[in-house]
Amino acid sequence: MAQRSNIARAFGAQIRVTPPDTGLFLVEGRTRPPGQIIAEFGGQIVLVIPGGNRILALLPGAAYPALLSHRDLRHIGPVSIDQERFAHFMEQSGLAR
Amino acid sequence: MAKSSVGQELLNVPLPEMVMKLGLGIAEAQRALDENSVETAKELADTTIPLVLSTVQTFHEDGSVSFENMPPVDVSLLQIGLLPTFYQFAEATIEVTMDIKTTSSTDTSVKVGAKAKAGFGMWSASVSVDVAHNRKFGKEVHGTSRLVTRMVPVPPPPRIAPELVVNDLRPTPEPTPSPE
Repeated sequence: MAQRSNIARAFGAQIRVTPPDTGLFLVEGRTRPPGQIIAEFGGQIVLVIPGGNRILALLPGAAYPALLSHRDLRHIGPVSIDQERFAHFMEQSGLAR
Repeated sequence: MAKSSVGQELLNVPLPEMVMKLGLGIAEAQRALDENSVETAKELADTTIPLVLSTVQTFHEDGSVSFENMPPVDVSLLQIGLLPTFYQFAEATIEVTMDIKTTSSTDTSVKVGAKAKAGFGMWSASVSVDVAHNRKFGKEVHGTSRLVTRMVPVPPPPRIAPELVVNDLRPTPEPTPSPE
């Protein structure tokens, strides 16, 4: 993935960013859940959080920089899962049984 | 004539300035990344989902079994183990490559001229010599620089997730009647 900034253009520089392959992201739409945007960028919805415009999604790392400035998104941020805490929660909630 | 040497050209590379600007760039990028992660942490903390944390299974005297869900509890995504990912710049490398070519050439030209005059018992002669000496210096300097940074995900700050204290007040499940 190559990006061009004003400084890069002035110096004729090439800037290349190599993002991770896939990551888990919290994505929030401005006016509606961003399911369509996620699909357009090759993502996969993991959890649609009820009562809002937020979705947990698996997205290609290359999509992250592009989505950061997407006009229809209010926020996007990388998320990781605390395995121990999540397993503990699943156990306590009975979902793991 | 001031002629800078190859060594001087290397010394002229603004390495301290490049290092300083790279450092400032990394600091700025790190701040932006941290801000985004903190914003994500806020979103995760503010986003709650209603979850039924327990279900009571009751075996009645008539042999029927019923299930009763306890009232749902709002838990945040942070509480269930979703954490913002924090990134850190682990390595930064500056590579400067210079290709310096110096040339010098000398041109020397000599012109010799002779003149003679004679008349009425007098004569004169002159010899002129013109020497032109040109020395030319040329220098070509090509430079490229390469800045490489590497980012790695790091564990979030230890106190970012609330401490989980479990008080299990669920009634003890009734023993399953053994088939006799």
